[in-house]
Amino acid sequence: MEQVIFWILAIGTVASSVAVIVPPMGRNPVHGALSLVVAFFFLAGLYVMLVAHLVAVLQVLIYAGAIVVLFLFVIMLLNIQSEDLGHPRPTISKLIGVIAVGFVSIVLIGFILKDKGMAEPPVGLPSDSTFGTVKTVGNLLYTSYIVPFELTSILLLVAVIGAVIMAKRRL
Amino acid sequence: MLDSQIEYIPVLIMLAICSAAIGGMLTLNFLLGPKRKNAIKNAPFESGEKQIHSPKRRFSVKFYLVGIFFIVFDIEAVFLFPWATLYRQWLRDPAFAWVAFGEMFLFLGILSLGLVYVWRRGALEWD
Amino acid sequence: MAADLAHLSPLLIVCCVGLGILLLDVFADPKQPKTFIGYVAVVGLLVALAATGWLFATGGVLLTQPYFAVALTLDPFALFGFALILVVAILTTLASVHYLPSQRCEWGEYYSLVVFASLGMMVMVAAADLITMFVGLEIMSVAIYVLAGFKRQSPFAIEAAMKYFFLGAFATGFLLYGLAFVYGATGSTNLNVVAEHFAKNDPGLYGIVIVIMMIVAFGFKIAAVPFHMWTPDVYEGSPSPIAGLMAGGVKTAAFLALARVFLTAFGGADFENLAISWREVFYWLAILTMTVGNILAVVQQNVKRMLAYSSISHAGYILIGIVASRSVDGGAVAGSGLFFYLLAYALSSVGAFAVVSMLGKDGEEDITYGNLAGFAYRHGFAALCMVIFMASLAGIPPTAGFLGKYLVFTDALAATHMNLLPLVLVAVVNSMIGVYYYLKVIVFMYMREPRREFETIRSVPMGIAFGLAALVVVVCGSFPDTTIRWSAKAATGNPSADSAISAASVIDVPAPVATTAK
Repeated sequence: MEQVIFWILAIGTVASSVAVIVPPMGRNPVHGALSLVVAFFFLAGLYVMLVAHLVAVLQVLIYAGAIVVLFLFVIMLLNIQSEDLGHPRPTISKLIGVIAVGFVSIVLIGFILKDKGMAEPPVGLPSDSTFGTVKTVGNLLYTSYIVPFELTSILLLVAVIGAVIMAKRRL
Repeated sequence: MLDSQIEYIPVLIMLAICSAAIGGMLTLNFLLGPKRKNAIKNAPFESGEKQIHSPKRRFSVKFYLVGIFFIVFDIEAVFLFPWATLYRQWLRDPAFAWVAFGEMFLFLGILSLGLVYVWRRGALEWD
Repeated sequence: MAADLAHLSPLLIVCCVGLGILLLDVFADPKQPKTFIGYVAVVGLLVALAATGWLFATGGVLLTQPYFAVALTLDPFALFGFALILVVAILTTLASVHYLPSQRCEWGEYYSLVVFASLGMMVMVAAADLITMFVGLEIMSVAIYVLAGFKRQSPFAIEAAMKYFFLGAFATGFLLYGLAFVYGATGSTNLNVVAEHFAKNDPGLYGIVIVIMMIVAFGFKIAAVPFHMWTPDVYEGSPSPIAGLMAGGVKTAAFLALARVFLTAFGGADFENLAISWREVFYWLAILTMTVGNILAVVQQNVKRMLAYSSISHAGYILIGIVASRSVDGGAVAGSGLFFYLLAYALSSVGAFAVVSMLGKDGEEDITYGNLAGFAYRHGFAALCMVIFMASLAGIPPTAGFLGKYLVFTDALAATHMNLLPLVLVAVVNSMIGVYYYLKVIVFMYMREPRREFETIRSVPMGIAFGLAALVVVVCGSFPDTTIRWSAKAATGNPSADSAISAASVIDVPAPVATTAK
């Protein structure tokens, strides 16, 4: 059962992520962004499989909800038509990119197939079933990580100031 | 599978039903619906006003500012979720109850300063 | 608790100053010039500096409250960093008050962003936990991205902000990925716990991945070759005082955070024996950084770009100090030269950029060597200060830069864990190349006739900024005893290492509800 769900979610994630940039979906940026939403939902499912419930909820709330809205805004702000971009041409940087991706994939697949190295279970990680639940994360976030938590409010404040300075029409 | 994961099975079932319903409707429409392709049928408003320009125009950059504010305050709200689920438990510990209250008060306080800033700066106005 | 708050006062004061001047800005009369906000910021930062001095005099403090102790360490290492960052922020603010109106970008948010950026840097330097360090780094970075594009009517500024943002965000991604691996390997993000864990367990493959990720992330922030490409464009497009803040403040904070992370958490012997040892990588990065930075600085025509490449080459010299340092008892940093060098470098570059700020007028900045011609005849004092900064950056006595280089090289030669003689030789050769382009500035200022009248900003606070920086550079170079003592204190005294915040116990303390709620 767990295996079946995992493979459905994993294949769904990869397929919808590929669809973000590969035609026919990838040709239109809006379609690409919507495909990204689908990928985020599959990813949220994978987080549930990892017992990371809070991250799964955040994935849907923040990424599929808020971030993609912003993506769509930016796409519509720029409104680049495919005529503006011209014909895609093979360039050296693309070739380097393909080689790099191929190399990293081969290394990663090699590690997974050898079933050594990264695959050995990490030491020291708590492995009980409540590890990633909202309550466990909250108990850590609001006690041990109280200083970074409060600093996050400053970070968000700086982000607000930055948005006003960069994007407000008249200052 | 763990109990906490089994709770998500109804969500999965709902997703499956939704996808099936939408997919089924689109497929049936595609298979059964009559198709008469001509210029009039393809116009955005059949027998309406003629199009004067493409609807794909640039958005005003003002939407972007609103979008950013939405995200920032959305992220702020996310921090409230775990806090709210635990607060009732924390109240039982008198030593920690005030810390729990105070830290969220401070967090929201700093962010409300951000709201005051945005408001006074006129960034919420549609200028 | 109350004592802890007093000990955290530098951070709290800076935080309150940032919030205060933000409100002051929006509630003040919008037609009034914003100069006074800059002065308020300077006063606030001076108070924080005084608090830092008081704490440094007591020799670093231990935070007793576990909530604070797991996140921050206020050892002399951190306090030295606080003081340096605050001084840089004060000088930047002073240099900005009349620069901003001349560039037609006088908005009060500038000062709060500078203050918040300093807060982020201070958190980075004091972080005892990788999560805290990350949040501090982000506060700093977001503020600096915005400040880089603050002259938003100029396409160069927008280019600078965009480049810095994209590459910075990319580097942050590497940092987070590295952090995830640290947590995966050790089950903790606390530096001391990570160190304890790696002292007992072989880091293995995890160690290699962590080291690569962290080096890429920090390499971007300190602008080490080959992660330096953004630097000249960003420094050129940013407002000149902000370029000084980047060169003096951001780099100091990034270097101190780097030193703390690598020497504390990854300082164990097992990390030396990995297939990729970070010390070896930094060794080669230092050689590359010094050489490439210096050679490219020679061919620049724009003074700001030249200073950018010079800051790259200085990152190489500072890396020597990192390579030469060794962690002692899993915490303290050996090698006081690193601290002295950071002080000399930070003040010289902030001062140099403050002098360069004078040359901007009417929203334009084209600072070629030609525009410096005859500068000394019209602005004798500024030119004199510039000579001091150039001498310090080139490493000519009696300036602090010379002594910094000397101390770093002696540290490197005294290092027993590695033969650093080749590195020092490369550094000496590079210093000689550097003299050429630093002298070029002086030659143009003093020995060329001015080509045309080039308007400059006449500003007393700006003069105070570079005057003070020059004074400190000369005093530290001529009467170095006190500064050397401070550097040595920053390098060795580390109270938190003695008390050894034993990790697991601290994490458990504040959790009042460990039980599952069912």
